[in-house]
Amino acid sequence: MSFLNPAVLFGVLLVGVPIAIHLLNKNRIQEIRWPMMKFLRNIVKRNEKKLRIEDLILLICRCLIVALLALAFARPTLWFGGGTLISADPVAAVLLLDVSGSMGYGNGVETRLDSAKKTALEILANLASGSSCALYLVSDQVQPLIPRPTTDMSILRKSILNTQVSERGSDLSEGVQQAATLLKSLPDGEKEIFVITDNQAEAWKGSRKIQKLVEDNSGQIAFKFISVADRVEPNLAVTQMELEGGVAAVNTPLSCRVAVSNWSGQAAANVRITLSADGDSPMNETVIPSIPPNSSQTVILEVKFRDPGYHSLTATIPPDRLPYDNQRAVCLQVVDESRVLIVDGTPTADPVDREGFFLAQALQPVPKDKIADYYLKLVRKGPENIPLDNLGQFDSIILADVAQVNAATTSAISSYVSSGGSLMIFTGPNTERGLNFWQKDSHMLPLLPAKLLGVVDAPTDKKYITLQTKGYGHPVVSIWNDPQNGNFGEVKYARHFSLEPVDVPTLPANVPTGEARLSRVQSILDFSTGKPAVIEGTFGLGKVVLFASTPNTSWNTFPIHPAFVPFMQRLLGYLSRRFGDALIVSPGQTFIHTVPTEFIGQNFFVRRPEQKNSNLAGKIEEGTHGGVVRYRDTGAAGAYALFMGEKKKPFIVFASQPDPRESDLSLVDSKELDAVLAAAKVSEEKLGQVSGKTGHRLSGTPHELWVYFIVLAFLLAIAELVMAHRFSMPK
Amino acid sequence: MAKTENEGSPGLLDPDAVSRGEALGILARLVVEGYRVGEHRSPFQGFAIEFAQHREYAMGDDPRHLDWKVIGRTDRYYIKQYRQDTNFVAHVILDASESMDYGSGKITKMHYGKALAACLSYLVLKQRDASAVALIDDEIREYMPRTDNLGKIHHIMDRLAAYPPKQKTKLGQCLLDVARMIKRKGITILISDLLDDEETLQQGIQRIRFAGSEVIVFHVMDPAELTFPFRGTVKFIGLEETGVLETAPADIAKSFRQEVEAFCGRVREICERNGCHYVLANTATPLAETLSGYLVFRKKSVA
Repeated sequence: MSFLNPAVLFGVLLVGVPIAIHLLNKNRIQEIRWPMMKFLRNIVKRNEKKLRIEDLILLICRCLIVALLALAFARPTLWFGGGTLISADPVAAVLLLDVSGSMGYGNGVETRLDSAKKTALEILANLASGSSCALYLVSDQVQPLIPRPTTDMSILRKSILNTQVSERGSDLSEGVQQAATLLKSLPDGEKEIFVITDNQAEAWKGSRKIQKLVEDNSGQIAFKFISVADRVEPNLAVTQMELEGGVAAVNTPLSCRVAVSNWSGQAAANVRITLSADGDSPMNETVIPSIPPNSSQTVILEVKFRDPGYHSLTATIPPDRLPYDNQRAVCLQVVDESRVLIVDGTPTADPVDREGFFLAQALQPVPKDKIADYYLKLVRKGPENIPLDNLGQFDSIILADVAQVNAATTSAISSYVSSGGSLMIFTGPNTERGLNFWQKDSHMLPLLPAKLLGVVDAPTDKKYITLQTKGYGHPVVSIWNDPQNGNFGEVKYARHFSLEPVDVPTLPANVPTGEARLSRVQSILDFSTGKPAVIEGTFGLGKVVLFASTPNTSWNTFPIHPAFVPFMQRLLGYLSRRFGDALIVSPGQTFIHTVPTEFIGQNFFVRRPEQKNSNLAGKIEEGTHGGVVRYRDTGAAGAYALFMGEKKKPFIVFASQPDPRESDLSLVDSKELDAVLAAAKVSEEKLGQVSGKTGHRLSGTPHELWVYFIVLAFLLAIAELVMAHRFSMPK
Repeated sequence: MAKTENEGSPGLLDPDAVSRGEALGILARLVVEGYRVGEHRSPFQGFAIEFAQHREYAMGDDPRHLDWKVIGRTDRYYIKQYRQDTNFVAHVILDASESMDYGSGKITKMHYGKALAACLSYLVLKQRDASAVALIDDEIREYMPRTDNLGKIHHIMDRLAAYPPKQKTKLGQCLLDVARMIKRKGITILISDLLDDEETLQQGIQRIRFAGSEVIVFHVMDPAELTFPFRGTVKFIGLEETGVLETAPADIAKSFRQEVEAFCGRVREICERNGCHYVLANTATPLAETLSGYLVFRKKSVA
């Protein structure tokens, strides 16, 4: 048995208190001259022995109570299934301390990290004299707190005590790798790696890599794995939060999709979700009646913003024992207007016959007298009079079945998109006529997420080609997975272009390329044949959406289908949020934002999650395309707001979103773990004994005994009370 | 009923007061006269007066003196005549041993006993009978021989007041010695805490009874001796060199009270067996109450 709070053992000395009281009472004697000594002697003689025994019993009880309480506070711990832990010889060791988000799970008394820190301190305390140790903090990254083994145990202890849990994901393999590499670089001698973790399955996703490391270093490095959790704990978490719907404009309802996951064996009932903006009090809430075990439920909450600019939205569920994942934030830019350029392929036609007619109705679905107040402003132009010198004024450009455009236009559009603009391209009869342009133009071709192979007519026997009726994976069309919203099955196509998606390398999701090339091509909507009907691609900082058919009814009935208006609204909203990924970082990831050059050198302030005030965070640096804001301290999940000087409105906001997989507290599969431990030549031995040279498994499951000590002390106190009462009755 | 010393003369039973003979005398007078000795027959009357002869009843004689035995035998009315010129002697024996020097309050058993002895002496002398007073511990320390002169009461009070208790008790032996000094029938009043061997005590009492004297025992006890109210750890230092004992009184209080009760019971039984009156005199009880209580009882029992 060991003690997690050995310093408190000095409290056992308090056992002397009842003894001292007993002796003091004996010294506090009054003297009385007494005539009836004969009577007294007889009685005392008869009762003396009994009185002494009673006194002794009570004294022992009181001493035991004090001793039990002192021992309880010292946190006695048994390590079950244990193995031997510490070598008797000096070692060069590396302590890997898991500081991932799951280590913040608390049992009401302490968190898993608190328990891990105590274990780490105990390891340090038991290292043989002359040992040295390094300390690495492991999450989904490795932070070498003390990169090389040191004999300065006090700095190690201090570092351990000051360690805080991060809100990052977990992956032990990289930490084990770095530790093994470090120890191999040291001179020969006893070498040990201690991995203190909660054995979360997510942390062990690299178990094969760890197993290989253990095998490769067998005989040279002893690997010891200690778990501070021995069972799966339930957890509720907000695991997803996304904006959806149309453009985020002032006074326009904005939908926010929130997913809550229930990682437990029992259903979670009546889970309340609140939605608040900019750290203010909740503006919307709902209750999920039930979330089945080990599953998620999604709700959609609506908000409205009165002011344009950058805002944050935070979804929160009631607190539980792992607090950091009970809320999730997302950031957005709310605009007071959005400008869209529709380039009609045949501008001279009757307005009703122009290609962009249905698009205009869909994008401004309000009565004519309300159009002036509507946030979305449309500009209709022909291919020859596109305002090339100021394309940046438009949030989106739609080429509605344009046969071709000149080189200057193509170049301007290419620059526009690569700089962050959104381009929608509808095909049709004009496109068919100008197919050569669309298939070969050197400026336009790189923009297209798919090649236009040729026109496909509906088979004569079936008369029409239809769209997919289920399995809508893209965020734009995901709401049609709900049968109540209908589906696209009734949209009929007589003709369409055959689109062949361009094969491009997949780049990381959160990193805008900034380069003028196509990346991240994905289908938005498919035909029932499986071929893409609407496809998107990322070009530079902007997006291109290519439609296989017309924006009007000449080749298909989509523009007159009830889903067309919401589809176009959602598509526009999706495109407007193309920078949304840039407003999300993982905890610990540096947030980078470009600002105009005139702000270089100025101070910026940051308001962190859960804080009311902003604090000085740094200076705006010079970057390649202007000023650059870099902010590194994003370890806490939630919404951050950056301010310039004394300004009250933030110039940018971003959200630190933790990895949702970290909220799943499932333990590593025992077969995986056993494989690693077998590689380490595990043997089951009792903890507390001196180890040999082979790696030993630490069942590491500490079983704290303080509760039993408290219960014993309580029972003893009751017994003492009862006995004292009985003994005090006159004899 | 006279006011008790606590009501009429609050200082008289004060330890300092009792140490002064004059105050003792005043107390005695107050107590006794408060009993209206002058208005009622002395409770000691009729018992110490010797029978002389019978004469035939004549109109006007006190019917209380009718001898009913003679009437029963002879069917004729005769009264008893007494030798009225014979006074009885009351021997007041006061235990002045060290154990009497205990008191849980302001008043000790000694103070109480002295006051009681003074009252009884005064009562007897007031009714023109004789009183002798003996102070005893392990022997008869002081003996004031019989006197029927009320004026001598001051001398008796002074001697009582001045005597300091300091020796051990040999009560039984002293009673035997007193018994040898008793020449005629009378009353022997023993005022003591009776903390001596019960066998020798009984022998002493029996000897006095054999000598023809009535015995009245005033068993003086302090309330603490009866209730044993002590708490905490106490070092008991025995009076009369009976040693030292340290104990927790609360643990044995019940047993102690039972022992004392049994002791009082045994002593009472000794007295009753030998035809003596036994009076438990708790020093917490006002003296006048104790004395008048006994005198009323005595009057009823003698009548």
